[in-house]
Amino acid sequence: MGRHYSVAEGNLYIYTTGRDRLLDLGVFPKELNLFEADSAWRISPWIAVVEDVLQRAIEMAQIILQLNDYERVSIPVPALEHYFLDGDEYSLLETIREVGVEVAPVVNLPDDAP
Amino acid sequence: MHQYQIGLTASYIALTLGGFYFIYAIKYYISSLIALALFSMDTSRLPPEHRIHRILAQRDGAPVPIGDEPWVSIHLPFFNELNVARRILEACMDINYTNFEVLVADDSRDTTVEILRERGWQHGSPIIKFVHRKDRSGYKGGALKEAMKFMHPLAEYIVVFDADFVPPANILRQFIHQFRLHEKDVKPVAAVQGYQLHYLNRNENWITKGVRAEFSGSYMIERLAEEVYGAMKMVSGSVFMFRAGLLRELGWNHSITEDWDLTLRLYLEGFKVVYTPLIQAPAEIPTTVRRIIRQRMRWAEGHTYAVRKYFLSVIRSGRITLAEKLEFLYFAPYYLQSCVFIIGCMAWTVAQYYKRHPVFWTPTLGWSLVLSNFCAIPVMGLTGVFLEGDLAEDYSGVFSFIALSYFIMPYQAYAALKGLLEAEEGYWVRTLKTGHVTDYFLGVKLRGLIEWINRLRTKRDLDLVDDLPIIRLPVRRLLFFCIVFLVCWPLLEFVCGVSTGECLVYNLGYVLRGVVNG
Repeated sequence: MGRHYSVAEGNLYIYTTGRDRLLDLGVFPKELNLFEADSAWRISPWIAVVEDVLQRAIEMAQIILQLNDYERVSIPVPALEHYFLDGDEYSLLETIREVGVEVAPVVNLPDDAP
Repeated sequence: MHQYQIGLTASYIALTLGGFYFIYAIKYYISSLIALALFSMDTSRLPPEHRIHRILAQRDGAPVPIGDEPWVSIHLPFFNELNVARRILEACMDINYTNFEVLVADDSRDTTVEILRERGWQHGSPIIKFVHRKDRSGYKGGALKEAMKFMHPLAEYIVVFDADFVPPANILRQFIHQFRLHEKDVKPVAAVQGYQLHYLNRNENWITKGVRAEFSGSYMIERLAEEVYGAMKMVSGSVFMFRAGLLRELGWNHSITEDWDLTLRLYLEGFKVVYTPLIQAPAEIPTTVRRIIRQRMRWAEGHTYAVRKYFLSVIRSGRITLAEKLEFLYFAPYYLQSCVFIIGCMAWTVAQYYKRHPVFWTPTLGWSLVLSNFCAIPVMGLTGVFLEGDLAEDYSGVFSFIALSYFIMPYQAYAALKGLLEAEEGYWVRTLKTGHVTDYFLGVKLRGLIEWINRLRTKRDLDLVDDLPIIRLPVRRLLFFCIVFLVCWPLLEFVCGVSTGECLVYNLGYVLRGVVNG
């Protein structure tokens, strides 16, 4: 079980395993342009992906995710993309075990953080 | 002399165009006869492997045993579907099937995205995925192409519904059952096309009534007859199931009529489409003339463009049967037919004004062609709504349809010519869905239709059919005789040369003159 996120190739992957459910994606402010009309994104019951996210938006999103108990994990993109396709969390957990959980970098909250 | 030449030229134009349109008319009439016969025949005498059984095979129960369900990926292309997004997603969640996912290919620019990112869709059963693009490249074909990248790897079949449809709960089982019925066909089946039942707002206004009648004629009559005589059938953009492996190979093109483009490519690969009117999904009908015109202009332009693009390939193909090629030839100038009819009628009027016509052509032949051509599509629509058991409610739609079809004719003809001549296709104009429902359909209507067919097939005593209006059987005969008359009259006029009809018209005129003169 777990709540994770990864940043790879400019994309933001937010995903859960076990009984955890994805957070309400409406928590991200519109200004971040994550799950809005003008960005490319995907959502499945286990993983949400936003493509080509600006660095500033990623930093802000990380804060929100960490406040919601999501931890950052570095996982190869193919494993994450495969998780989107079929939701096979056994394969994903296996990959997580192999790569190990990366401790999230300390992020200073900006003054205008939500 | 001058008037003589004008009159004679007009009469030849009228005869040529009238005769050309009459080929279409004959097809509509024969299709109507086939459908009437099909739904009233006693199929119990036919051998079990007869194709008629497959055409009429309906499975309201569970023909696909639980545990034997191949993976299905339902693709829903969305573009600003605020009014209908929730409705179709909820309908998909109610589908009675185990191994399936729903994949929304979204290009919305409005607040539809707020609906899609709601947590309520993320139950996991069924799996609902959303794929949102930030641009609209390739239009619907582009969105469906994107959806295919993200569908479940185990998917064996892909089903597509437009956002304004409401798929019934058993629809996936019905589709798969059709595939299994056709497993042993010589020509492999690429897709099963169901009936796009434009019904949900049929009583909203005169336009929706007209379109309802039009689609009834097309789906209950024309396509059904095409299935009977093995013609080329079209994948119609919605309510169809496609083999996923084949669709991965063929892919979606970025045409404004991506469905017709795909149809031609699958036939070129040696596959075919199966149609059944008994797999039905109700949908909305465009509510304004403007929306209808824009929709039909897109259809006409994209259709003609694809015909031009694939014409020689189809004609030369060794994988396409003669019946399929003939249907393709028939279908090629489809969107110009009403234009042909109007110009033919105008030329006929000019010829009549100058009282000039070729020696072998009597005025009655002209009138018979006009009458027969004029009635062809309305009679098909009437037969369609009759076979669906909605004649009493929907007959008026036929008049709306006539008015509508002639009103949109010049736009359609312009778009068709544009598709024929332009270097690149135009752009996609979407048809707004309002979400307005005037008539609930869902399972009730389908069950009524199936029960009715079954009753006719078992040939029970009429007394047992207590809830059917007694008018139905006379209507069937009336339609039958009307069709036979409308087909035979121009033919007899033409073949015999001697006009029995002329005498009739002459005598009628004599009688009328007598009445007027007291």
